[in-house]
Amino acid sequence: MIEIRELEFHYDKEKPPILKGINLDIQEGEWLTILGRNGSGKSTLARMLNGLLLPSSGEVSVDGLSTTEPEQLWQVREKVAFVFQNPENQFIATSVADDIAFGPENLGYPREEITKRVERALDLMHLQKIRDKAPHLLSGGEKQRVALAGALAMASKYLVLDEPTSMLDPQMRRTVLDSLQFLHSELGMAIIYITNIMEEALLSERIIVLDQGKIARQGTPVEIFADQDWLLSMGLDLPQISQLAGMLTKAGYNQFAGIVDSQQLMEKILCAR
Amino acid sequence: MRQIEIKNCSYTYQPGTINSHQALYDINLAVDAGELIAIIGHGGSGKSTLALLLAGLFVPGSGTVTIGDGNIPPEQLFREVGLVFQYPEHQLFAQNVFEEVAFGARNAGVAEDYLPIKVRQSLETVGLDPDQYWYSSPFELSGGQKRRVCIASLLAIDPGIVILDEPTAGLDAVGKKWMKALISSLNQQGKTVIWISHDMSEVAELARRVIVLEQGRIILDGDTADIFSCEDQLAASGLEIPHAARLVRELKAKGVPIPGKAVTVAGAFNELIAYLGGDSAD
Repeated sequence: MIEIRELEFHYDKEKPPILKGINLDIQEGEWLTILGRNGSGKSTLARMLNGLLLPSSGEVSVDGLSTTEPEQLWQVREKVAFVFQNPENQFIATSVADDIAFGPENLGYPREEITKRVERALDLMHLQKIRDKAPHLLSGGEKQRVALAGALAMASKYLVLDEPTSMLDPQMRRTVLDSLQFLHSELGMAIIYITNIMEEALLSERIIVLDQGKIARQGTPVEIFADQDWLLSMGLDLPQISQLAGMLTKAGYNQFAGIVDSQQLMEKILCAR
Repeated sequence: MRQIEIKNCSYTYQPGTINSHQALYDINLAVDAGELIAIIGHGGSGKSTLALLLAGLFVPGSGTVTIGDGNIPPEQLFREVGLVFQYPEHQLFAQNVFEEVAFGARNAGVAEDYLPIKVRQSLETVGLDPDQYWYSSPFELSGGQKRRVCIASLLAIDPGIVILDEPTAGLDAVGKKWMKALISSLNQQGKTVIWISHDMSEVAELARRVIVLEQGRIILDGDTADIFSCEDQLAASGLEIPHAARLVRELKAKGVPIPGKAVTVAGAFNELIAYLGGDSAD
């Protein structure tokens, strides 16, 4: 479990804190989405989870290991992998396979173990065909899947992703989301997912909404997307299906209240008349 | 009035080398004054290369690109066609917002006395308070504000054609809404606006014409509603139609008597409300 207690963070003491009063538990195997307008503190919070940033006060711990203890930080980073928005910024090696091997190599695993992990990651993320390619020549979607394979080879328990699909086209976005769903449901990885695309938030089990550095609300996607006016006041969009269901509800068709799923909306319409 | 005409154009990066890569094949395209066009296609389909051709920044390997009457010298083209690159905030360079926005206009020959007026107008158009930001370093602005500064720099030159390469990528809901409003308002002021997007709901909402690229070729070009009715072709190109549009199409396929043509949430709502209310518009 990742435990966040009374977390506060500021770059500059003179200015209001970027994050304040954050208390949050993230369970093993959970899919949590973090929403919030730009500047609400989403990326800062994400960077707290593996000690890329350290709290000004309060504590972040991962399976009991604190990010503020230098001798525990490397264990924290083994457990919590990070995938950035721009995949360009996270490659080091000259081939896909070497890049995936970089993490386990640094942890000092024996050669056979590293090979085993890399091969498995290449298989599961469907990267065998491009294993010898240079990472910078890959498409955006492939780059993100290489980053996911890196986390897989590290056997990380928690995967933090900061808008991983915002630079991808719809097809590439689909392949990255499919891979993520595999890591989550088949391998039980916890996913902590930052996004501006509301449809993607529907994949998660729990959503937290940040506003001005605080957790403004948390709940299931159905709970969060139910309060449409509030979401708009948070500077957030609605998924199209929620928006449509909300408009129909407001027009007097109460049977559509709270629907977020396209299939469900379709069934309700089919038996409406 | 014809503003841009592309005839039988192809474009190859690094031709004749081992890295040679043909990005566009046999492009034919005409753009008239006042159009509002979205260019879509998956990554690597040639969208950005096409934008560079349209702006006259790339010379085609074969074929011709005619901008305006065709007699504008290359170094003067930027007065006619302005292109804002993808993630333009990475290209900021000046000490303050005034210098940043004035740079292009000064090169376009706007008189020094008149520059502050031009800069002021442009900043107002993009929703940045000139008095507040005039002397700010562009590097200290937020990501969304930086992008606005870049667009203001282009507007200060006052080109008739504005091309934007993924202007809404990476923006949050508020930023996107603002950018969509700017695209509409520039078009309403009479500018021809061409923009590249991966966001199909935004394209469905705004564009009057959509051009679909695949592997360097134009595979579809037409009215927005017509393009989104080619769902299978779009899917084959890795593009998805907006969820609301898909919903009404699937309902129609299941026998619900609705037109099934809507591309936006508002359009889908109208179709459904007509059906639920009993006066089905089949």
